[in-house]
Amino acid sequence: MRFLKDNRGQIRVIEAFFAAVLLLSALAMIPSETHVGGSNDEILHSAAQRTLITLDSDGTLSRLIENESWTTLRKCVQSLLSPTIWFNLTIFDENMNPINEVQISSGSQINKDTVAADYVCASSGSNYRIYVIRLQLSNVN
Amino acid sequence: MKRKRRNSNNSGQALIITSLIITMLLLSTAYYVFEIEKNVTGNSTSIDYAFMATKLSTLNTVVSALANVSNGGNPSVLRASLSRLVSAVESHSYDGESRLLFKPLNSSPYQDGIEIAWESNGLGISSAHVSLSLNASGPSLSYYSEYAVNVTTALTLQGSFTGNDSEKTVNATCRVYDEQGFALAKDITVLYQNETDGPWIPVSPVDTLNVIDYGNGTYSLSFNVYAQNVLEISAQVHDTRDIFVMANATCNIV
Repeated sequence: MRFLKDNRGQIRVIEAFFAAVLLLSALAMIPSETHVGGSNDEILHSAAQRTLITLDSDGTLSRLIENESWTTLRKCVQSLLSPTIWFNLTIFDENMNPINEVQISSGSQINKDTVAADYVCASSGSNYRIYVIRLQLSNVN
Repeated sequence: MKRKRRNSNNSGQALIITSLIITMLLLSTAYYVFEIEKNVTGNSTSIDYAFMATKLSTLNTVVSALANVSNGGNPSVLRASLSRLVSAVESHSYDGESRLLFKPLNSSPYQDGIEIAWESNGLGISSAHVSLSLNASGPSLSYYSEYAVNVTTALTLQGSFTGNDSEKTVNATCRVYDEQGFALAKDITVLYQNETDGPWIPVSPVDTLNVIDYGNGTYSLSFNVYAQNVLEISAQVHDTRDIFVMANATCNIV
C-alpha cells in the first residue's frame, strides 16, 4: 500500500530524465567542427575578392595592368591562392573590352564548376583608368 | 493535515513543469542566437569585402584626381572621374543592386572638393575631400554606409643663409606629410629668387645642391649661390603618389 502511494521515486526518475535531456541538448548544440564561410561557392567567391583587394590595396594591381605585366600578375594571384584552386583572370576596360591578350591562369581547367567574381579597380595615377577584373576560381579536387 | 500533504505533492509537480518550461525557453533562445550568429558571420564577410573594394576604388580615384589637378589639370576632373567610377561600380555590383553617391566638399578652403594652397609663408597644401554613401541591396544582404575620403599632401619649408656679399650658402629644411602622417618625396626641385619679384632660378648641380633624406619625410637642403641677396626659396615636391605640392619661404640671415 505504501509502495503504491509513495510516488517520490517516480518524480526522481522524471527529474533525472529531464536533466539528461537538458545535458544532451546542450551537448548537441556544440558544433562538431568549426564551419568557416559557408558553401563552397561562398568560400571561393570570398577568396577571389580577398585576393583582388590584397593586390589592389597598395596599387600593385593597376600598376601591373598598366605595364601589361601579365606573367607577374599571374604569379601574384597564384601566390595568394591555395595550390588546390584553379584560377583564370580576365581584365576588361570600363566598356568591357578585354585587355589581356594572353591567358592569365594556373593551367587548364579541370573542374567545370567555377565561381566568378567581378572587381572594379581604379588606378591612382594621374592618368585615370578603370578596369573590371573577372577572377574565376574552381577547386582542382 | 490531509490538505497540507496534497498541496506539498502538487508543488513538486509544478516545480518540474516550470523547470521544463524554463529549460525549453533557454534552449530555444540559445539555438536562435546560434543561428542568427551563423547568418551574420556569413553575410558580414561579403559586406566587408564589397565595402572594402568600393572604398579602395574611391580612394584611388580621389588620389588620381588630386595628382592630376595638382599637376595643372582641371579641377572638374575629380567630379568626372568619380562619375565614371559610380557608373562602373553600379553596373558591376558585388551582390544585387548598388547605389554610390558622392559629394565633393564645397566649404572653405575646399572648392569642388579640391584645395590647392601653395603659400609663401612656408606652407603648401594639396588636398581633396569627398563624402560618399554606398547603398547596396540584394537577395542575401543589404547595407548602407556613409564615409569620407580625404587625400592630402602638405609641405613645410624653412630656410636661412650665410655668406659674404656675393656668395651665399642656403640651408633649408623641408617636411612632407600626407593625411596619415609623414610622407616620402619622389622628387624635390629647389628654386630661389635673388631680388624682389625677380625670376625664380632653379638650383642646379653647379650650385652644389645637397639633399639629405632622413627617411621620415624630412629633407635637409643646402646649396651655394652667387647672389647679392637671397630673398626667397621655393621647394616643389612630388610625393610617391605623384601629387604635387610647393611652398615658398623667406630666408633669414644667420
